[in-house]
Amino acid sequence: MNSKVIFSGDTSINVVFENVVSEKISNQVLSIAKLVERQHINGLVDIIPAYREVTFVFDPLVIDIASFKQFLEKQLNKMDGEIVDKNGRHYDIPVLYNDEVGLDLLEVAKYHGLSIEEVIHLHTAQAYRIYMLGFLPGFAYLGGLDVKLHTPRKKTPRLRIPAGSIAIGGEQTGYYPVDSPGGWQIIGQTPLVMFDSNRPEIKLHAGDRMKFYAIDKLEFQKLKGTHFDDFVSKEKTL
Amino acid sequence: MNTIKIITPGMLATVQDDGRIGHQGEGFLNSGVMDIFSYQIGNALVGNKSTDKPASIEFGVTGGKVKFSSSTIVAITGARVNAKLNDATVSQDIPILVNENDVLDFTQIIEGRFVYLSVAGGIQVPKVMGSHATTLAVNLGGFNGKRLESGDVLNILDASQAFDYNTVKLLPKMPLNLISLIKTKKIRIVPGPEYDWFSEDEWQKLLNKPFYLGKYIDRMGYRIEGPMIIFKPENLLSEANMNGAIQISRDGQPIVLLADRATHGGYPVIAKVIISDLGILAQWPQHKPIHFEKVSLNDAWLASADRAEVVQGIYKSKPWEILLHSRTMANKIKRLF
Repeated sequence: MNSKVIFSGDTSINVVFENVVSEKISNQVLSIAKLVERQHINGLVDIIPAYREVTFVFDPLVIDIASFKQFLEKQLNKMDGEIVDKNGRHYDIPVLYNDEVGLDLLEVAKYHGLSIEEVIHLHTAQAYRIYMLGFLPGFAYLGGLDVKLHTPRKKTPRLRIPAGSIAIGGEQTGYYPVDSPGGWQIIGQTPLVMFDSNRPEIKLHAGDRMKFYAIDKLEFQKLKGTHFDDFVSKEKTL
Repeated sequence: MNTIKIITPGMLATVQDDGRIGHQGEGFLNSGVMDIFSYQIGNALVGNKSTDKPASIEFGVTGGKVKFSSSTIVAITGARVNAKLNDATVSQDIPILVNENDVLDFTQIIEGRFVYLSVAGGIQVPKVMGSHATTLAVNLGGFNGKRLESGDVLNILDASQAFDYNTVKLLPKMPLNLISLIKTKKIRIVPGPEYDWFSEDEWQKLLNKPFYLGKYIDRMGYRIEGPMIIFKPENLLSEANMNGAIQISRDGQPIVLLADRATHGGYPVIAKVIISDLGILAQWPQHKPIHFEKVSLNDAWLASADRAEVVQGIYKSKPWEILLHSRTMANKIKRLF
């Protein structure tokens, strides 16, 4: 058994699985996070899932730590070997892929000896799994990028990447929810507002899937500034 | 509405509480105060309930100068400052009554790095995702998501809104010799999630050699300098970043992650500064050697309980009531004649 329950400090305890990216492990991580969340345990202040572990943050003055640790160990034992299938939601995200907003699109194509059309085709061909959210509000760590598109990060990170930029960093792909510094290769931009500090709720969850589709400049301008939440709920009612 | 006006904000003033906790898994940085004990004492002194997550102003590197539009009770805690109310010297770590047009000046920090101004009822800013904390990286929470500037006017309550005047109270007993800026010789740590990525030799370096604050210290984290610490050559998948986690970067130098740290990170965490010593580290002098001491989880929890008891002691003695009685009555009488 490669999984364990360990203290990660005086106010947190981790359920840790093997140090690899895998859908099975991610499902186990999300199941145990959800299961514990449903218990509404007094003194448990945050539950933070990641690729291969869940961190439970607690208030040591409130929680009964020994029994909480035992409870986690019991749940983990029950879970070992079991593949829990979690049916997440699916989102389609419009993206304008060109060298105007995709500052590194040409470079990425050149690096792999592909045409721009091939890069777009490969990037839009699959649905990516959200392994976890973090780094910035609503930033999604997406897994499942085609090996043909794995591209090293830029040697010198850019100081400011515009919000909505779609990028590739190593074997990962994703978007920048707000203007931020970053070293990923930018291949396009979504017109959707992925994070707005005036409407900070995050609708995405780990376990959801996200697929990108190419749009033209006209469509991009039409959709520019639309909130992700509004776009998604409108899609649903159509 | 009563207000507090920022005349001088100093280097970095933000509205903070004890952090936006509970949303780290959606990518929300905790933020919150760097020295939680000083923040808690400040709010206890002015009678704010901790369960309300009262908002205080955190001044970093330098203090500030503010003006009040009406009478209320405030407290200055954390870093040591030369504080003046109008032209009279005032003490720290006690409740202070301020009146209309009073100016409180504590621009210069003498010792420490973060000073807190707490006011009765708390700074009135809306809660965002359950917290008043400012996260500058995404312009979220606090006072319009931004650092405070000269001329900013923040809403506060006056004492008559914050407290009930009509109950009969006996004079409270003030806690004696209370100093919110704690100084210690050692910073206590407990093992972190990747404690076993480091050999016994590396642990000995961490525990036996002095470390010093480096050039890069801010609300995100403190880079510290000392002997190079190495770890096994394995790539760690991103995991949740904890407040106080001692991360070892590829160059072998530790970074202590603090209030404004990113939500997740991928460097192994050898140890974590215990919650009770985080504020002490935040206020640590630039050239004083840092010695880490490994303690048991149980000792860490006992230390937390001790700190909580000090704060509870202040609530029990209700020091703010001294001011409400003596000064407000005097003011009422003054107005009659």
